[in-house]
Amino acid sequence: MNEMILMVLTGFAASLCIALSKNKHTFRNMIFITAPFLVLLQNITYQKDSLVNEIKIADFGNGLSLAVVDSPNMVATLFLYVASILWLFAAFYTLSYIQKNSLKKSTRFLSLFTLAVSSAIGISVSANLLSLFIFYELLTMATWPLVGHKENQEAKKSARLYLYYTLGGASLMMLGIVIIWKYSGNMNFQYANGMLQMVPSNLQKITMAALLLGSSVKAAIFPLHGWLPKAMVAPTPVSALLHAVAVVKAGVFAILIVIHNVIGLDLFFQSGIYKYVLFSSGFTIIYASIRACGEDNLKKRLAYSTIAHLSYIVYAGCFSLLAAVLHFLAHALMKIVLFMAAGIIQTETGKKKISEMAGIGSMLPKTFSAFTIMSLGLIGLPPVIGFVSKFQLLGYLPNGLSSIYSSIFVISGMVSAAYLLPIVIKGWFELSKTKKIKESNGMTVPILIITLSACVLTLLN
Amino acid sequence: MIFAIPLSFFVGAVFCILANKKITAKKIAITFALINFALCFQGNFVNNLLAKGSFGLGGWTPPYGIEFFAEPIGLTFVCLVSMIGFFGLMYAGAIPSKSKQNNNLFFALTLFLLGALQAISLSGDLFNIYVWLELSSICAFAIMGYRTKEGAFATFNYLLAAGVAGVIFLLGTGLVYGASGTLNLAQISTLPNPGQSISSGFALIITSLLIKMALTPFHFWLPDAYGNSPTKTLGVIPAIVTKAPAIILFKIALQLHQNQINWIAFEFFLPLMGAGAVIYGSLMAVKQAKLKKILAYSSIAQLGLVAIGIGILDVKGTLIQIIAHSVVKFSLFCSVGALEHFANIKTIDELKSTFQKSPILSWVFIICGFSLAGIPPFAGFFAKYYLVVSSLEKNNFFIVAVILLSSLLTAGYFLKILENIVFTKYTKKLKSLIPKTIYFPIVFNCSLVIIFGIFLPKLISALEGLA
Repeated sequence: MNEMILMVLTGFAASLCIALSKNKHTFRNMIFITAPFLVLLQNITYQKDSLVNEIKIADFGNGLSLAVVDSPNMVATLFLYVASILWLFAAFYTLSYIQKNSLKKSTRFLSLFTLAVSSAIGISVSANLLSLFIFYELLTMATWPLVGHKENQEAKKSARLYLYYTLGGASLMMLGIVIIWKYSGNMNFQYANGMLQMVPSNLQKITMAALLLGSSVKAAIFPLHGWLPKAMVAPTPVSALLHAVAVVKAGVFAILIVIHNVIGLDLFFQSGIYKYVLFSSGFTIIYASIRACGEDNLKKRLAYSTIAHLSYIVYAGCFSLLAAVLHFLAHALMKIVLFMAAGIIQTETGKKKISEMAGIGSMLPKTFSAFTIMSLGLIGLPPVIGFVSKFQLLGYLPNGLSSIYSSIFVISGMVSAAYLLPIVIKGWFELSKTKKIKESNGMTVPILIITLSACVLTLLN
Repeated sequence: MIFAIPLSFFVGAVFCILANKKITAKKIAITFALINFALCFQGNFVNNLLAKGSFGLGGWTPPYGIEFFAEPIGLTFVCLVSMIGFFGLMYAGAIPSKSKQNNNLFFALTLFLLGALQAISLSGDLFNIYVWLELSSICAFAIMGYRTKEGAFATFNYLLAAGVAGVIFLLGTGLVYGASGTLNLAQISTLPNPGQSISSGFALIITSLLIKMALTPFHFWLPDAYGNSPTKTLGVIPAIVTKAPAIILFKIALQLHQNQINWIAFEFFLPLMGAGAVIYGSLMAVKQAKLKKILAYSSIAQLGLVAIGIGILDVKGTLIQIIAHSVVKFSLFCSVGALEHFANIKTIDELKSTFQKSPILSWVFIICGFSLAGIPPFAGFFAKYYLVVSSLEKNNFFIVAVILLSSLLTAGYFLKILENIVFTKYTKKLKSLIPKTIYFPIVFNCSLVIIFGIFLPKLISALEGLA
C-alpha cells in the first residue's frame, strides 16, 4: 500500500480505535497522542514515487475516484504540515483540557476530533475535486457533533446552523464539480491548470460562482460567515484546532485551489470574477475587524478576527500564492495560540468575557505572555511571523491596485490593534486583587512551544 | 431458468399456507427466500444481470404466449427484491406475534407479494404487468392491514388508490391493444406510426403507475398506510412496494420514449412533479412527530428524486437512487419498528433514550440519515451526482437546483431525529430489550449503505455500458 494512503488512513483508524475503546481511558489517550506522531513521522519520511500522478483509494467508474496525490503542490504541502504539526500540540492540550474541565462524553469527543483532523489532512492531499469534496463532507459530519458538544439549547442551535451552512456550501460545490467533470473528464487539480477552459462559455460563470461560493462557506467570507462566531460555543480545543486551523483553512485551501488550478489565473482575471472575490474578501476584512471590536466574549472576538484573517489569505491568494501561503502558516500558528490561551483562561479562572479580564496577566503570566506576543503578531508587529507575512502581503500587491487596496491592510491592521491591544493592556496593567494561579503544564507548554517556534520562524525568514 | 426466480416465492407461499406447528411458516418462508436469493445471486452475478432476451412461458412464444423479458434494469430490481425480501422476512420472523393465531397467511401473502414484484419487473407485456401489479397491490393491502384495526383503516385509502389505478391501467391497456393489436412492449416499440390512441393509452398507463408509486399529488394514501401498518410488515413494504411501479414506468419509458410515447411532455411533467414531491415531502416531514410518519414523508420526497430520474431518462441516477433508497429505508423502517415494538419509542421526543437502549440502532439512524441527505461516501450520494449530471445535459436548471436543495431539505427533518439521538445526556445504560436476532437484517443493510456507496456506482456504470 502506498505511504500517502497509509498516512490518510492512520488518522481514520485511530479515530475508530478511540471510538471502540470502551472505558480504557489510558489506552484511548495513548492512541490520541500517537496518531499525530505517526502522521507527522510518515509525513517527514515520505518519499514520492514520481511515477504516478494519483493513487486511487476507491474507484467509482466513469473517471470518478477517491484518490490521493503522490507529490502535493506547495499549498497542499504547507496545509499538510501545518495541520499535522498543530494537531500534535493540540492533542496534548486537548487531553489536559478534558481532564481539567471534566468534559463529558470525552471518548466521542476525542474520536470525532481525530476524525475531523484526519479529514483535513485528507483534503490537503486529495488528488481530484471529488476526493476533496468527499473529505470536505467527512469534515462537516465530524465537526457537527463537536460544535454541539455541550448539548444545551445554544450548542444545538449553533450545530444546526453550522450544518445548514456547510451543506448548502457543499451543494453548490457539487454543482461546480459536476460541470467540471462533465466537460473536462478529469478532475485531478494538483497537476492540471485551468480545467475551466474546457467548459462551454455559457456555463463558465455558473461554475466559477458555484465553486467559489461553495468553498467560501468554510472560509467564512462575508455573507456566508455567520456560522463561525456561533460555532464558538464548542469546547476550546475545537475552536482552536478546527475553527482556527483545520476547517476554515480547508475552506481557504479549496478557494486557492479553485482560483489557481481549476479556474486558472488567466481566466480568473479575464472574466472579471476577480473583482467580486477581491471586493467580498476586502469587505470581509474591514467588516469582521470592526465587528470584533464590539464583541465582549473573548472567543467570539477571536472568531471575528479569524474571519478577517481568512479573507487576508484569500485576498492575497488572488495575486500571489506565496504571500497567501505565508499568511496561511502565520495565521494558523498565531490563532491557535490565542484560542488555546483563551481556553486556559476560561479553564483556570472561569472568565469568558473581556470585561472581566482585569489583571489576568499577573494571574496567568506564562499564558498571557504567549497571548500578548501572538496578539502583536496578529496586528503585524515584530517579533512574530505575522509581521513578515503582513509585510509580504503588502509587497506582493500589484502596482496598479496598491493605492486603494493596500489601504485595506493598513486600516485593518489598525483596527486589529484596536480589538487586541485593549485585552493585553487590561490583562497586564489593570490590577485586581487576585492571586497568581498555578498554570497546568499540559496546557501551557504546547502554546509556549508554538509561540517560540513562531518567533524563530520570523528570524529564519 | 428465469421463471424459477419468482416461482420459488410462489411455491413457498403455497407451502406456507400448509405450515403446522412443527414446521412453521416462518421457517418455510425464510428457506424459500434463501432459495430465491441463491437463484438471483448465483454464479457470475454481473453476467446474470446482463442476460438479455425474451422467454416464452411454457414454450409459447410472443405474441401469443406470456413473455418474460429479461434486461439489466429489471434483473437488478429482481435481485433487489430478493435481497430485501430475504432480510424483510428475517425481520418479520424476529418480531413475536401478539396474538396466538398462527402467521401462515401473513408469510404466504408476503411471499406472494415478493414473487409478484419480481414477476412485474420481468414481464414483457402490458397485460402481464397489469396482473402482477394487481396481485402485488392486493397482497400489500392484505399485509398492511393484517389483523390490526388501525392498519385496516389506514390501508383503505391504499385500496381505493390502488383500485382506481388498476382500472386506469386496464383502460390504457385496452386502448393500446385496440389500436395496435398487440400487448407486447417489444412489438409495440417497433410500430412505425403509432396513433393518437396508443399515446393516450400510455398516458393512462403512466398515470396509473404514478398513483401506485405515490408521486405527489397522488401520494395521499402513503403516509397513513406506512404510518399505521403493523411492525412485521415494515421490512418488506416500505422498501420496495412503491419502487416496482417506478421500475415498470422506467422500463416503458426507456423502450418507448423515442416513438410511441410523447416523451417531451413527460420530460417536462415528471421532473416537475418529482421536484414538487421532494419539496412537499420534506416540508411535511418536518411537521410530523411520529417517527414512521417522518419516514413515510421522506419516502415521498425520495421517490420524487426517482421520478426526476425517470423523467430525464437517467439510468445510472435512477437505479442508484432506487437501490440506495430501498436499503436505507429498509434499515430505517426496521429500526423504527424495533424501537416501537420493544422499547416503546414512537415519537421524536422519545428518541432521547435511544442511545442508551440501543447504540447500534442509533448508528443506523446516523448513517442512514447522512445517506438520505446525499453525503458522500454513503450510497445516496452518487444518485444525486448522476441526476445532477443528466439534468444539466437537459439544461434543466430548475431541477438541478431542486436536487441540490434536497440535501438541505433532508437535513431539515432528519436533523431533528439525529439531534435527539446524539445530543442527549447519558444516564446509566439501560438494559436493552431488543432481541439480538433483529439486529442482523438491520445491521447488514446498514453496512450495505456504506459498501454500496463505494461499489455501486461502478457496478451500475458497467451495467449501463453493456446494456
